[in-house]
Amino acid sequence: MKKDSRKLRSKIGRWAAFVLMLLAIGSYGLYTMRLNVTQKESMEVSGYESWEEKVIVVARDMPIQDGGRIKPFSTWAGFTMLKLHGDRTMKIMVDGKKVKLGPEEVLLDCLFRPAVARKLPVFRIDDTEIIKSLAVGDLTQEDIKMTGMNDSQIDDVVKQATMGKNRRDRFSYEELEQVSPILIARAQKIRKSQPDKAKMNSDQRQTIDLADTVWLFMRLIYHMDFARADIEIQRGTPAVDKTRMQRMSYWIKSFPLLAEAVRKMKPSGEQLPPQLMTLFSDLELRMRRSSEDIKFVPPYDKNSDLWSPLGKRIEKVISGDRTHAEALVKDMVQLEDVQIALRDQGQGTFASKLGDWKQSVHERMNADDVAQLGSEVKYGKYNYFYNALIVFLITFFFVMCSWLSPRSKIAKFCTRIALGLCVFALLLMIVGITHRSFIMERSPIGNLYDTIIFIGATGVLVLLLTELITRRMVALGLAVFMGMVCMFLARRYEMGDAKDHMDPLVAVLKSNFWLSTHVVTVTVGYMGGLAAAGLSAIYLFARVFGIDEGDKRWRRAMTRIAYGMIGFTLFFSLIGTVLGGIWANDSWGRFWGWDPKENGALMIVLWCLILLHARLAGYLREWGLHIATVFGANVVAFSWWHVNSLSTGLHSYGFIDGMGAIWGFYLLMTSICLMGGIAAVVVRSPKTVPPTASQS
Amino acid sequence: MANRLSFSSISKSLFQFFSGFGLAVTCLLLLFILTWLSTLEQPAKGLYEVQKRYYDAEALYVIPDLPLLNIPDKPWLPIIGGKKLIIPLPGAYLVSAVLFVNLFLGGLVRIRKGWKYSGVIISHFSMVSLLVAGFVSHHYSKEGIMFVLQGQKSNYAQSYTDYTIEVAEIVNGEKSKPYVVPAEPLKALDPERELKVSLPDLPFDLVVSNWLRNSEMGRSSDKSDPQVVDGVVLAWKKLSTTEEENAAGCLVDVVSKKSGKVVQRLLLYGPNIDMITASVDGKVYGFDLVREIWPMPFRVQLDESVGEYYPGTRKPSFFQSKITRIADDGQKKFTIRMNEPMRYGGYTLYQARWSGETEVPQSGFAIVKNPSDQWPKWSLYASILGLTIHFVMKLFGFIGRKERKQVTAA
Repeated sequence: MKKDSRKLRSKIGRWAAFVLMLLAIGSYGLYTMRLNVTQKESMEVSGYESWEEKVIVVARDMPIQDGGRIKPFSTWAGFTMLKLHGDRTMKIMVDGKKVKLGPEEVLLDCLFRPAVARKLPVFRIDDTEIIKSLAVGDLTQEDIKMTGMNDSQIDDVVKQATMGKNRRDRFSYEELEQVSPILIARAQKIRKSQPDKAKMNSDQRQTIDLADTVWLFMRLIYHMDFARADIEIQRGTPAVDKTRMQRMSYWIKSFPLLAEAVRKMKPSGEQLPPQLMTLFSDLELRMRRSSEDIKFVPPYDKNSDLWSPLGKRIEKVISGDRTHAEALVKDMVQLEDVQIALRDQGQGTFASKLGDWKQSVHERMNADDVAQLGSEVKYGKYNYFYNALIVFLITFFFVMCSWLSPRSKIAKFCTRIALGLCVFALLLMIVGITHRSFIMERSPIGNLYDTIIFIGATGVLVLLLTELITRRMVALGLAVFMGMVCMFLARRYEMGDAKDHMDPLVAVLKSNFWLSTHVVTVTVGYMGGLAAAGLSAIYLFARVFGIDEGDKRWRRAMTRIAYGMIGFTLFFSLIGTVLGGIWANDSWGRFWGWDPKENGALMIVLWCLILLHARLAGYLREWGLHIATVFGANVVAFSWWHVNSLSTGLHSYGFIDGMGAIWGFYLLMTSICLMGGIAAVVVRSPKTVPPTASQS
Repeated sequence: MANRLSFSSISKSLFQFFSGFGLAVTCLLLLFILTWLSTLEQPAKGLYEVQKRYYDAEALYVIPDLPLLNIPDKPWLPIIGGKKLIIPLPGAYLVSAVLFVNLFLGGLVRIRKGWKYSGVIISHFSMVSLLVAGFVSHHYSKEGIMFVLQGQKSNYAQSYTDYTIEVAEIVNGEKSKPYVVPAEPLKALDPERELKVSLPDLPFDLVVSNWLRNSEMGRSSDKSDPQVVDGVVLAWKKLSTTEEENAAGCLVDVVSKKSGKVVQRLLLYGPNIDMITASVDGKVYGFDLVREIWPMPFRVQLDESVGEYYPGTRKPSFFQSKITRIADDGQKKFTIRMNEPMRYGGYTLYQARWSGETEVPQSGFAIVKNPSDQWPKWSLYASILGLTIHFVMKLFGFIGRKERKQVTAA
């Protein structure tokens, strides 16, 4: 009778836990969607012509220098798109049909079809009040003058921009163009009053972010103006070949002659003819626009590794340094041909001309760099971590099925499938991390993003090994859960941060020895702490919901596993922390500096020591040990994430967003501890009793 | 006999208390809390101040003072009856000292001996040596910075934070060997506290007052104000969270030994480059408030200073200084890079800063004299060994027990 009631309680407990899990995953999914989905239908962009696949294929491995390294167009486009749009894809309606645009397509639009790009719903504004607040007249007269509008005009353009928009909505540049001077003036004012972004309030930060995004977009759509070949040749300009004269390359090539003619005119006091003045200012504007930081032309000087923007090179040539004028003009002509091909002959010729340009750039690079570009394009294409996430989601379904009907045939079948899929997802992660390391030419961990995927992979690996030893299905379930959460987190962090995490590291971190020893061990320590907390949380849930059916052997085994995992955490955290001290001693001249990140690592070590000693002394029995181990997840979260938001210390990554998620995590873990604490008091954890007859 | 017995039982109780798990867990817990609180206080107060409050040997107790949820002036503990609730905690140095005793007595002396415990004993030993290394470093290490321009030499380091007052006779416009008021007593000063400095070989003594750890100079026409010196006054400035940025200032009264009267009042200000002069008994003396300078037993000649940034960014990719070390035992060429310092004569030189924007490149070397420099490395090796032995034994024990159970069940 008692056994039956236990089984019933266990069944109810399992279903309750299942529902809780679904709720947790569902809420997280909704939270994620909230960040990306706007309430309205996708924006209609009538007449949008999609890029042909062959154009995308050619564009993908076009090299660009960005963030201190040479990367393929696809990587650059992906992160630029994240900065602009908060997502790697964009949905629009074209003549009633939904069209999904990838980053390469949007960036090709920005560079080569700016008129089309202006209509795309690029900007996601979470709170349109930011735009509306631009109408509040708090700008100085000087700022207002800069915008070129008076107060009532500002009111009008703000009203127009927000008309019919929801609180959270997408905007095109066309819709924001009128308000952009006011937005930029406001952002400048905010920066003047508070230069430290970490100390700005949410509205100020949103304004700054939006202004930066608009500014970035403007740089993109104007950058290729030098190659448009649409210079207006006004009446009265002596024209030999009007078509050639519409190209900027023509004027750069003949600039010495032009400059000489101007010089000859000036001494005699002659005014330059107005058409020439217009031409000069047009050329200057195009040059300035292409001087912005977009670098896709390799250096002409073989000893240099700096790919300066084309505008800067034009500036050099027209200011008299004609060392590389011929090469520059050649490049300009080639890029003009690309642009003209798109305008006059369509995408087929455009792809071919773009391919010629890419070929010419590849020929100027060394073979290793070109091969690396191809490898990185493949890395992007295989999308290892996203695919691992999908596999984990499927695996989670099988784990849940086996969990809901334990000891049944279905459960055995589901477990085997889950195990296979979990190993497959682990392989995906391992291959992904290895591939990244080859591209970055460094140890796998160098920044926060790297730590997430590494913790995911090592966590799954260690828990699978634990499963191999213990064979209780607990570690397998946790492995799948941990892998899934880490892949979710990696994706969210990458989207929120919008930074290429494969960019090179600062000088002090450039040590493969220390990165592979100190950083790896400390990160494995984080993983151990989280895995131990996960195991203990399962123990607490199992006991509170009666899922364990009162099986004392299971309880003892879980306690031993958690205890072993604490030892594992201590081993890696302690060694990692001391290794960090030795590295700091070699690079900064001190073993220990009470830097927040160092303190965080020390806190994990201390917490593990407290647990182990308190357990040895008998201060912590089963309930106590598990509750304290769950609390250890808070200590890990503090060390891993929280200290980065303190904006102080040598390890500070300047991470300021996402504190809500950290507090949410603390709350969740503390709630589990409280739940365990209350249950422990209620149950009054019994002393060890001999196993029941059935267990024997 | 009874006395001896009670002495023995007391000493036994004391031994048990000091070597017990209870004390170990308490110390670890206190260190955990102190580390956590001091980390949270850092953004508002800065590392230097927090270190002083929590970790200095003088800090026997600490009253945590952190704002609630980073809201300035909102204390984290409630205000009861108009008074801020405070919870004093023992200082980290004191706790570490107790932990050291506990670790030594409990982890090395009292612990059961045997192969089974060898890993734990080695680990405890490594931790004891790590604490000793920390103690030695805390008391006997010194750190500063040396800036050298390419092609030039230097043989002194300057403290990042500590000020000293230099007094030197000026003869023919040249500074003679200076007398130095050391940093330690100056560090203990505040605006209310005075320091009398006796200079045995000079015809005057000094009284240092109105010590401001961070200050700025301003003009004042109030001649009646004793704080105003030559129309200049020092104003208090909020402490920067980065101690290096704080500009100290003070008033110095030059007291004639003959008359016992104040001959001149001087205003010294850290960032001032020029010495302030005063005449005493017909001789001219220069006074300067400077960051503490300490001579090195060798000279460093910077032959080449190289720094690189990743292309198109301001992210440093590489710093390197080629130097010639000139010491009594001869000259030697050496290359100092990031993560590759030069160790010589108890000193370690690190590539800390680099400036290539100036006409002549300049390197900044962090200089550390730490007798326990390499001890943590040896402690680490010991702890790796100890923990590996212990946990591997535990793991095999766990697997073995499981297999035995399976066999029994079969």
